[in-house]
Amino acid sequence: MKDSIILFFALILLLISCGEGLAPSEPEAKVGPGLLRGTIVFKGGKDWLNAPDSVIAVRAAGFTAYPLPDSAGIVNELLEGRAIISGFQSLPLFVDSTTFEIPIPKPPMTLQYFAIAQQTSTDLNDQTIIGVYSDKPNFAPLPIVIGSGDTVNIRITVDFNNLPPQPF
Amino acid sequence: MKSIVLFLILYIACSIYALAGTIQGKVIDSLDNIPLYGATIRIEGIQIGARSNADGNFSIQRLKPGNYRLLISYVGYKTENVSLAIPSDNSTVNIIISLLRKDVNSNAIIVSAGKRTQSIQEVPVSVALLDQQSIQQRNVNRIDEVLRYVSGVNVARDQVSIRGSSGFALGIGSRVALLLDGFPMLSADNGDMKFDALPMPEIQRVEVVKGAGSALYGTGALGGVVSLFTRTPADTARIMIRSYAGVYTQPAFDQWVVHDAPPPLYGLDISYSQRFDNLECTLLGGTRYDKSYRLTDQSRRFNLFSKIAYTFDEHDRTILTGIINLAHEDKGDWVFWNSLDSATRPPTSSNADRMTLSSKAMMGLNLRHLFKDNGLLNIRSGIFLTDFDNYNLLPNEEAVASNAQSFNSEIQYSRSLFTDVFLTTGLNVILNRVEAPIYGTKQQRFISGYAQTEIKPGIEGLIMTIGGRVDHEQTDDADQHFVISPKIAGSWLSPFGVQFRASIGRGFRAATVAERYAALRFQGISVQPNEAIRPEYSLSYELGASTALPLSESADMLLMDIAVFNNAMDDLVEPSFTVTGNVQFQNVTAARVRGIEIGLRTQLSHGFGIESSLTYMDPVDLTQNQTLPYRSSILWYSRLSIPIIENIQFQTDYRYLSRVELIDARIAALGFIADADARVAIHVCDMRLVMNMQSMIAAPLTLTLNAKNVFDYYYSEIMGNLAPNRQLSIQGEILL
Repeated sequence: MKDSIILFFALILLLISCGEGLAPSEPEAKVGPGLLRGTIVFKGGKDWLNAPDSVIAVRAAGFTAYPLPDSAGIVNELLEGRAIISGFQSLPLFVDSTTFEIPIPKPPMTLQYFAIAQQTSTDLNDQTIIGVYSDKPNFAPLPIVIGSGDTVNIRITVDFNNLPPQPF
Repeated sequence: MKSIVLFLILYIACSIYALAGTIQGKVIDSLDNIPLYGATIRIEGIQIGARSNADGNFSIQRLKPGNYRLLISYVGYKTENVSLAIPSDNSTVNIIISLLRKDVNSNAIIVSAGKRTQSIQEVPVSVALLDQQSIQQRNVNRIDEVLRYVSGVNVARDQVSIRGSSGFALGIGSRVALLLDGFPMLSADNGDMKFDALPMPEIQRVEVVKGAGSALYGTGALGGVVSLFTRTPADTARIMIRSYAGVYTQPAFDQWVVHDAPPPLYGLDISYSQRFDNLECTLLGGTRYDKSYRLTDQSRRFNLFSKIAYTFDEHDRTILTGIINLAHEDKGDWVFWNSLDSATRPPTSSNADRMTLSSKAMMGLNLRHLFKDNGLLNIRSGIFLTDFDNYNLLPNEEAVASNAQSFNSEIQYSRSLFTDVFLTTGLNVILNRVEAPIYGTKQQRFISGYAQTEIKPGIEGLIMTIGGRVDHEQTDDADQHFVISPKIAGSWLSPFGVQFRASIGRGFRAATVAERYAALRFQGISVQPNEAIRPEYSLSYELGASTALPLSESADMLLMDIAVFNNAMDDLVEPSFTVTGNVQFQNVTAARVRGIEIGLRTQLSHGFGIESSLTYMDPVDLTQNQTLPYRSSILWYSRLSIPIIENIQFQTDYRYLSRVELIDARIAALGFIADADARVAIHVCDMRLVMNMQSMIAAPLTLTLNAKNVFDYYYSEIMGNLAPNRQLSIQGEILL
């Protein structure tokens, strides 16, 4: 009987060793630029009720340093490569949702603050932050890390009835 | 109504003092004739009995003249059956019962399959039994961890499946009934099992009845019944202190490491139980913490359990039992993984701080009275409350919350009509009430009646069973449903020592409030209500045989069981995708699961033991003419126990489930769950070392070193969920 037990145990070990189990894919050495891809959802629909007056443009922008400099310093951040923007052209206005893509030419990059800004006059410095990438009720910013060859997807909800605090 | 109650009280009082015969005797060890203290002597079928005293003596009085069959059981001994007759009033029958010392409990008493006390050899359906020892040594904290070791049963997260009855239904609508000391424990809203709401340290026995059981148990028993029985206190005080602590080892893959150090888990249970003359009481309190091997999946739990039983006379003829069972859990809101590459993290879009607070409370009263004609009246009434809600929500994030109550009242009467005919009959009312933002305020009501007759037609060892149940179900304004669930079965204990059994029965499950009315959006999935949903049905039949073969001249035995089964299911309710990409519960599938189950169990001299069960199933979706999704076709469970030295035993369990052949491809295609198709065969090996320290340190301490999933095998039981990796723990139990 003991032989049978040993045989039984050996059979189990054999079976277990045959099973490979689940495993994550091998991490690849990624190279090349990164990409930040985002979706903005405007809560309340395309009418943008209660949006700050004078909707001139909406842009997405991220910064490697936080707190931010004053609005004049932001341009300098962009020129120095410490900030990124979805483009000087506005994202679509008065829509339910929209998407954007921002190439990251020199990864890795860690964005400490990423926000959606609404330009409220023809002056480029008149910006109101209407959305922040955050998972907290108080809109504490959530860092975004984009590595070489990475594509990072984010999603930001804009609620015109509950705007985040203004960083400057 | 008052006059009925008064009549009942008078009838009970009169029956207590009626004069009749007595059975008295002595229970001894067959080898050395030592009296056995605490042996249980029960009269078959009527749940009356006695317990032997320190001299092994017992007495059962006030029995009507007639034929009786005694079932005598004692831990560590083979259960004995003794037939005898009381010839007239005032006569006394004396017997001496010698029990055979044996670890093989081949003739265990069970009570759930036929709602009455029976020897397992007389039950015409497959029943699996788990005793207290095998439960406690495995350091299990939830009933699903126990059921994973039962032949033909598999558990996929919150869903118990017996012989392929269930697949993947978002944890809603159990197709297996769950009972705690006879009280139903399925929630009123989701119709699901709350695994954390059971007093596991006080569970003495688990019975799993396989196959449709609606003929006695009504809705939910489509695939079978799981019954848990709590311990009966002894005359001496029993104080148990059990504590455990352990860790999940870090995963082998860096991508899956989410904690700086191996995440811990620990728990403490303290229980006290004792019988004082006519009063039995049990108290249990426990707490547990589990950081989990995954992020946002941590949990903290508290349990309280109390059972008080009062016997109104000295012969256990009238017993009132009250149960209160409370559970509270504070848990992370884990649903599924981000992807296989980050299988221990939730989706990046989810709120990692979201938590779920849930509370469960069960309260019940059970009055049992044995009339002077040996008829047994069993009145049971209970309520099961469940409540859950989320907190730490993001602004405008929708909470999933529900408050539900399930009231259940049952009156059961059973007695021998003639010498060879036994009747069990009853009425049952269930009222489910749900208040939830996602369901609305809903009420579901069941009114049911059932009757079952067991007949001994004159052939030695043959028992035929015929019965059925009628259920009427109504949920608010939805269509009402009448369901008839008949059952025919038979068992024959042949002169060759082989028990043959055959059964055919119908099962059903009414759609739950959640399946009918759920309207929510959660983690990208939108669930839509469907008020037109109908009950689902099953028709299951089974042929089986079991026997016990001596392996040598000593007490070594080999127990063998084989069953072939077929379970035809219709109108199965499954979560389905509508043309708009939403999820809706619909009657979509006709299915058939047929298969064969073979079980072998030995208990050898000196503590050696080996168990193995193999279930092969062919699950077919008859509507789509393809394999029924989410089912494994092979389940193979094995157990081995080897004594290392005196008082130290090594045990190992091995579970194999073949790779699930098919999942719902639409879930993967629509991208709700990343890598939903990642699945493998399941090989899990648990090992433990059980050390009885009594002889070493002269203290009533048992230490158990546990290693679950010892080979750190990575698998998933349901889509998008990595199962627990290796867990190491130590458990100490002091029994005073």
